[in-house]
Amino acid sequence: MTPLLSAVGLSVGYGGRRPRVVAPDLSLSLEEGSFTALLGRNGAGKSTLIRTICGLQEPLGGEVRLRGVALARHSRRVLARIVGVVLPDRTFPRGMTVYDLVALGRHPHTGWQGGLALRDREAVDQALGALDLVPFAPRRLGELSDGERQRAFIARALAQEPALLVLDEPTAFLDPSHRMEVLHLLRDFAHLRGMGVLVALHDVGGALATADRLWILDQGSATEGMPEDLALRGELERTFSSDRWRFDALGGGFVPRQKQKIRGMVGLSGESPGREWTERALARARYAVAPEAPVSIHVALTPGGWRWVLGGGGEGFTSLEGLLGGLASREEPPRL
Amino acid sequence: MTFPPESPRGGPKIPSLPSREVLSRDVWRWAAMALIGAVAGGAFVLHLGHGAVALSWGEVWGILLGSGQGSSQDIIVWQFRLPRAVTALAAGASLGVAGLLMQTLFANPLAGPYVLGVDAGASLGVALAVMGLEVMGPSWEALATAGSFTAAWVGAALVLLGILSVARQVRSGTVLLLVGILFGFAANAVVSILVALAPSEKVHGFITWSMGSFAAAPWPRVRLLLLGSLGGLLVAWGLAKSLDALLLGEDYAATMGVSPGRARRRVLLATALLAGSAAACCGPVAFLGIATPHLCRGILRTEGHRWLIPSCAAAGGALALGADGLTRLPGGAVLPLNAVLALVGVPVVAWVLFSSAREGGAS
Repeated sequence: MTPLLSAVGLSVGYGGRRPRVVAPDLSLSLEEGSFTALLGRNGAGKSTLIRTICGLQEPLGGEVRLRGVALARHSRRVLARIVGVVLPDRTFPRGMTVYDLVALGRHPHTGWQGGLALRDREAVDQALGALDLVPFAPRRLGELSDGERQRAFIARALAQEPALLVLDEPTAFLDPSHRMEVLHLLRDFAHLRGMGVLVALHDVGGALATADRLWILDQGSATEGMPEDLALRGELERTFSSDRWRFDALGGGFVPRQKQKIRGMVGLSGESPGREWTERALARARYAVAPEAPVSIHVALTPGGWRWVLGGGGEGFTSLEGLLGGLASREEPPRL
Repeated sequence: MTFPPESPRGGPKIPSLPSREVLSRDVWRWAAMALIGAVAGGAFVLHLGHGAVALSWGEVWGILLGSGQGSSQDIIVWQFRLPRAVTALAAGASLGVAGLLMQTLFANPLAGPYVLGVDAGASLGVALAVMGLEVMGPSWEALATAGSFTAAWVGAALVLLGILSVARQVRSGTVLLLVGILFGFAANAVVSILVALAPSEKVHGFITWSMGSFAAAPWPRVRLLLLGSLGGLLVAWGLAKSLDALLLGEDYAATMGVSPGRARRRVLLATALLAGSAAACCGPVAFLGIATPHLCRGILRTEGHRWLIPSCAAAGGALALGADGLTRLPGGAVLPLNAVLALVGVPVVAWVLFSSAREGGAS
């Protein structure tokens, strides 16, 4: 079966007198019903690739195909019915209402004057509903919060009823819970409506948690696959690690490559999750946990809350902050 | 592609409320538009009945229907009042819509043909045409009229092209405004030099024209103004849908099926026709272009161009007729048109400036 979207030997970059290729010879594909995240570090060419896929930029070589047909062979108007776009632009007409913005999504479907038929109004209402924007319909864009406005722009693209939804950094400027909400919503569009959704993201953790597939752009070359496959093959680590920080895909965070200087060794026992949180606090204060350390800590949940007992003296603490203070006061001059 | 009956979050079926609400607002918009149109029509009639010589409505109406041919009243109505009212209506409509087009094209609420130097460009064109044709020999009225209109259109288009090329390189709306003002200064400087060098008997008419006025122009000029205005309005009306898409910026417009380059060229053509015709016939007229669109947005509470284009045309015409009426005081004294318009326009522009600065900037 031909994929909804494919890049065949695609080179993207900037044309003109001195063309600059950002990423040469990309071969990627996206199926209907797939929520695919495009990841890459700053300057890897995510936006350039997105703009090329949307037809805002000419490819420098190869081609983008929609359902097997080269992008260049579609007219703008036909293209607009297939591909809905959310761009990272931060400018918008402040006085426009949410309803009017979403109604602009019907643009490729309406007549020469842009008047809305019943069918168009239904699509607008449904897009507003899908993004929980019904109460916001009469509000002006300038009155909305960043998250609400971003949802309105996504609703506009949805009202277009495209087969492929392409979004460039839709979660930038959103707080973590809204970020997750938008990603889950996009995933639902793909799974429940059978749309192809391609989203360029900085947020690697969010992409790993929600995307069916990843496209990874790294130093001009692209890799694609399921997030877990790519993680096991070490692709994620290779792309996002730097000289000093190693990307830990499973933990979703960055671990320093250099050995950290240690202040002392302590033993740790007790129940979860107190033990794990204690280990974190100790690590930040530069204590390493080791079984045969001279000092040991026991953590336990009592009816009065979490308690820590510092071995060899039996001092008790009611907070980690207190415990660290107790540790410091026992210490010989730090062995930094 | 069809939507499943339920929202993706499994919630209940969503009632289609927003559209119903919007439709009721559309009814109000139709009413408001009809009202603006009625005000413009009323202003036109009042304007015809108002003047230094007292004529009753019945007399004016009778003359318009063809009675009393050759009488002095006939001349007053046909050669002075009617051309003046038509000029004000057409020029006001042109400037209102030109301002709207420029505000959308440059994504700047303070854009307008006067502020961004388009009027000055048109003046320069007219000055060159008037002086040039005068120098070439005995003035041929029809040629001079057509020449000055063509020169005004070209001058307006050239300034618009210049500002557009700046706008594509500089994102800041404030810089754009300053560049427009500089264009205006430069064009006006060249005009002053031309005036200083020209023989004084030739420039008198030009200087009166450069003050800006709807005072009765000869019919050939008014006809050309009507032609340019109607042409510009038609082009603008055909662009309403593309203009809506351009509100989101050229990239979004392109993803919505609009060719930004083609749309830009057509908007430019319409603006040059509208602003150029008004300038060629009436000289530079301030504030109508910038203030009318804001007034209409405020009344209709929409950014949609298929509402704003007709209402800006009607409101611009009504404002022009009203302002022209105010220039002629009962005692017979005549005020400068641009002074009257400034008194109306400055508060509107100041309000726009302050509210957009408070909301995070016009740029």
